[in-house]
Amino acid sequence: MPFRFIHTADWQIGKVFRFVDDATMGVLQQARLEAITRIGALATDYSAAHVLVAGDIWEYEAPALRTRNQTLERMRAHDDVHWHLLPGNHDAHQPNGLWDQLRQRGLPENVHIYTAPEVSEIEPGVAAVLPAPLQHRRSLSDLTEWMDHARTDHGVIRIGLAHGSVRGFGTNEEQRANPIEPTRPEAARLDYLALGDWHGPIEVNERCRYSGTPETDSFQTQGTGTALLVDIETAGVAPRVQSLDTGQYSWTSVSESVSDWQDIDWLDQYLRSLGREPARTLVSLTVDGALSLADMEYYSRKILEEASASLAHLRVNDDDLYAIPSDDDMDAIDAGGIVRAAADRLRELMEDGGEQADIASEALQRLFIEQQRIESRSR
Amino acid sequence: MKLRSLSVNQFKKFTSPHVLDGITDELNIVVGPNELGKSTLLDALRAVLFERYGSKAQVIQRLQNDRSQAAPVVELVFDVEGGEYALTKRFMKREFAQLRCPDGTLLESDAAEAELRRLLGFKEAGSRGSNPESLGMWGVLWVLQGESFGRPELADSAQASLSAGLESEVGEVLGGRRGRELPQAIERSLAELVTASQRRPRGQYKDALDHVVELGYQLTDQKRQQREIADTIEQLGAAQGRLLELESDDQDQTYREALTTARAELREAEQRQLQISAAQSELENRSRQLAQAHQAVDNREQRRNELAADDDELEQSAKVLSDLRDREADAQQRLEPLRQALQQAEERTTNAEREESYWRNAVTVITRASELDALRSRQSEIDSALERLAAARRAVAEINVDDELMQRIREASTALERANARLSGAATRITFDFDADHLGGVEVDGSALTDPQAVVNAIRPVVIVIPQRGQIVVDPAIADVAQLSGQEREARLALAEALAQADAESVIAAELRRDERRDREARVEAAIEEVARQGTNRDEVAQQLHAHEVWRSALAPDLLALLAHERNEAERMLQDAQDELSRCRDSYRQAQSALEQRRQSMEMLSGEVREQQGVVELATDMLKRRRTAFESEVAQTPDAELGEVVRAAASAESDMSREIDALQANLPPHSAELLQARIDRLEEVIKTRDSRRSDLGSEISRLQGMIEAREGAGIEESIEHTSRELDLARQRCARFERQAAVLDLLASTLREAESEAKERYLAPVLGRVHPYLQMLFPKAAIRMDENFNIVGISRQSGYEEGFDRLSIGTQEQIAVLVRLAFAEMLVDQGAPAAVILDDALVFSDDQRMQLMFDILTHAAKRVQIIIFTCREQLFDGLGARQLKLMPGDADSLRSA
Repeated sequence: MPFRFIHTADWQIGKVFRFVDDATMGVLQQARLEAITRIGALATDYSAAHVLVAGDIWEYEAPALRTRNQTLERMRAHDDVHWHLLPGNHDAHQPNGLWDQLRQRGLPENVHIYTAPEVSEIEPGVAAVLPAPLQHRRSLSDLTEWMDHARTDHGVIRIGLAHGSVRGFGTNEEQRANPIEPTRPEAARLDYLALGDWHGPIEVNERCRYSGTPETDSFQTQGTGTALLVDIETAGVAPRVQSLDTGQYSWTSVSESVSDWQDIDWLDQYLRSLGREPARTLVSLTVDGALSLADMEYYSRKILEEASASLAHLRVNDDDLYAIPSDDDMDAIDAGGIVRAAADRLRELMEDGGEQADIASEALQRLFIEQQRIESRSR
Repeated sequence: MKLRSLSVNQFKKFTSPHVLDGITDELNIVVGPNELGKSTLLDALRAVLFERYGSKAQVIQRLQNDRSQAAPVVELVFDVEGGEYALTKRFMKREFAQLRCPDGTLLESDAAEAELRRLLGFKEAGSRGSNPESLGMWGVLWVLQGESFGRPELADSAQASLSAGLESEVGEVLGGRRGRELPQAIERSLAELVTASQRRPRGQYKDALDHVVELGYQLTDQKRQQREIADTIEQLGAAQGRLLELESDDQDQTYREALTTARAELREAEQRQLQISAAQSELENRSRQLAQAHQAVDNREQRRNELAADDDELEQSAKVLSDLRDREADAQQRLEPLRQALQQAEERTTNAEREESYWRNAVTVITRASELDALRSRQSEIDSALERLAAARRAVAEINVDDELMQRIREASTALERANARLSGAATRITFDFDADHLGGVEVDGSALTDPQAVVNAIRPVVIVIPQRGQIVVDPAIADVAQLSGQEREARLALAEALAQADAESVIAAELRRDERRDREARVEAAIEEVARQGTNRDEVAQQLHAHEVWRSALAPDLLALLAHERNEAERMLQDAQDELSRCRDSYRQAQSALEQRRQSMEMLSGEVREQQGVVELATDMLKRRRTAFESEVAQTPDAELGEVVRAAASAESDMSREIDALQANLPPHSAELLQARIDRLEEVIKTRDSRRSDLGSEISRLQGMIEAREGAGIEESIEHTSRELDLARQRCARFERQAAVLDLLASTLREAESEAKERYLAPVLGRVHPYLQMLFPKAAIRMDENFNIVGISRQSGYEEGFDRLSIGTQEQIAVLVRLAFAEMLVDQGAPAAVILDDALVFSDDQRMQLMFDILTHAAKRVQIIIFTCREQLFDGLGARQLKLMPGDADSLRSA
């Protein structure tokens, strides 16, 4: 029987989604909690007795008591599984902080936390965890280094558990914090190095992987969230790794240009076809182009109102979508009289491209809409 | 439209046909005093044109003449576009309407009225008759009495007529319903976001801004809490570190060992110190003994010296005593001559006293003898005065008519007179008038009549006897004769009694007696005064006299002999004797004083002698006893023995000093005080370290408690939530801001467009008003809203005044100008129009009136104007065609 466990990370329970409304945020937060339950169920299904969580269990160093307890209760509910938790950069271990408090308050028996770089045999004589807990949000040294010199009994499977950026991955400053040498598995004779921090699943090498977050939480991360099922036959043998689907929500970015109502119809259909089901799909839409006032009003109704309502969330950036009033638009506003005079004046302001051009464009659009309302009332 | 003629019959006051014709195309005036019927003509004009012939409305009923109640008939002839129409209407009875058109067709009844409405552009009158709405522009152009001033009120129909006219000139500029509703909708939306005046956020926008502020505070507070928690955790770490330090080192043991050593050293040092103290105490004791031995030697020497000094002093005192005794004996010898001088002075004084006594007695005896004589003469004077007083009193007593009795007599006399007067008043008057020669024999009440002209007042029957003739009894009929007679009798008796008492025969006699009594009373008063002048009470004088008599009778013979001296002599001799006595007494006192002084100084000397003797005796006794005591002491302890004691004590003291030096040389290195200080310090250090451990333990518990209490708040998560809410709230504010900017731009653009449009729209009206306005108010301009209401007028200064704030005269002038402009515009566009002004411009001053005449004359070239006025003179300068009301043809205006 190989030693089998599930590798997961970056739950980030309690994460706040700034751009969505309250209801959607509630749903997304709930989905992250439910991911724990799904992982527990998968562990049971696949007879994995251990789940290793490689950091960022919580979004904060000081989550609310309820947030903390909800997480622990989800794990307690799966009492046939042992949960091994490692502090990450979001929930770093500080003296007298979150982790000390967890320990003081008492943890469910099947939940284990690692706040010191010490070997811990999770399956006596079979497998040991070598944790590299973060003591700060940003650490400049490689915390996995101690593993090189860590002793375990002969034949015991050595599993490293760490949170950070593997050198050579990522380019920006943020990703240079908490560095991890990609050669650590060899140097420390690890059978597997379970990593957290990257929200998408990444295979660094055959003994070193990022599991990705179990529930996607940004448009930069593609896919719906995964965990890894790892089998290690015996110490020294390369692990077998299988990806498990854990997420419910897809996050997709779309960029389109529109110029008339046909484009709008197409975009509408396209948005509705994204993800497994629209109600569990979040879309970041970037639209550019130019539309007549009538088409702009159509765009507003079809995309911003109707298609948006079919999705879990539609985030729109249409800063580069311009309204170009057509002669028909202008006639629809009024053939003459003061309303038309005002419309002409606004169009001039818009076309002058001065400071008020944008405001004038919106004002013209508003005039168009108000005129249509009055028309529809009189009909 | 031009009016040509107007005929009426049985119309209000016109009960016979009248006609107003000869109306020109231009300016016409109907002048006439009140009651002529000008307003009735206007009523007729409005009735024939605008009222329905079949109407039974109250306004139509009022067209009838009150008395005749006949059917009113009106005929109007007018031109429209060159064609002449004749319109006739009869109201109330057998009513009809007829319109003869230029082409000769005659329209009857409703058809006639319909055609009329079409021609002139007004609406059918309602069941209550015409109203501003049905009249349309005609209500504006035809101004009734009292309606010419104030803003022209335009009914909707009138506005519609003007708008139709304007739009045919400038096209549709306001954009109809859309032009009205859209700006309103935009303004409403804008008003939901910002205030009208200051464009300050309100409603949801304001709420959103407030929410941002509130969230900002909340976030700041949460971040503060976060810092506090971080600080608390840091403090906890520091406390734990310090505690670890305190517990891990072996400093406590080091301190405890040092303490034990210090305590042992202290015990040793204290023992040594005790030995030194005992030795020092013994040294002090020995030093004291040495001092005492020295003292005994000194004392003996001192006492020996004192005894020698006392011997000297005693010798001095004995010498002083001897001197004092000598002085005492000398003084005793000098005392005797003074005693003898005093005795002689005493004898001289006794002699002088005797002499003085003799002469004093003489003066006294002589004085009292002269007093006796004076008292005797005084008593005789008093006795004679008293005698005179008694005589006077007796004379008064002889006459008893005093004032009281006199008063009684007078009152009785008066009472009698009154009674008599009453009797005579009531009496029957009997008047005799006889010939004196024939009186003989005539008797009245038995008395012969003596007076031929006598008058008798009869109060009781009077019998008059005439000899040879008989008698006449006159019985007076007096009702109360008895009472009156009684009164008279009583009065008379009272008077007689009083007079008898006064011992007078008549009242006059009584008066005389009373005067006599008064004189005598005066004499008594004089006698009393005389007695009073004597002063002293007679008894007192008598008493004194008696005393002097007794003295005299008892006087001794030797004193009686003194009376032989003259008073003056006796007094002079007494004075001399008194002087001599005074001199003797002075000498005696001087001698006495000298003797007394000498005696006192002698006594003082004797006292000093006694005192000094006591001193000498006492000193001698004491010296003797002290010498005895001193000699016995020396015998007991000789001087050599005292010297031996001193030497032994000095040796013992020196031994003890050496012993102390040896002890001090052998003391341990640290003093007991220093060692005690070290022990105190070490004990404090150990105690402080214990206390710090305990404090740190409490501090750690407290900080852990605080962290535990706050951990549930999940401050980071709360901050993240609040930050998110703040972001969303800011975005919401930005959206509102953007929306407000969009709506503001839209609203202002619409307002500008509307303002420009209105300017264009009203231009035809304002353009026609403008030249007239310039004539009245140079450089002025009026502002009108799109409903043709005059809003205000701006004059040279550019400042706009509200129309309502202008004077009534100015308001009326401007209102007339605007009406002329409306009419001109309508005429220019081919619509029928004519202006009628009833009693207008009465508030204008002369200058404005002339200008208004010019304007009316100018306007009348295009629009027919008819002015009705009762002020002929006022409109004298108008130069209009004056219309006259003439009798008309009864056949053509047949009433019913």
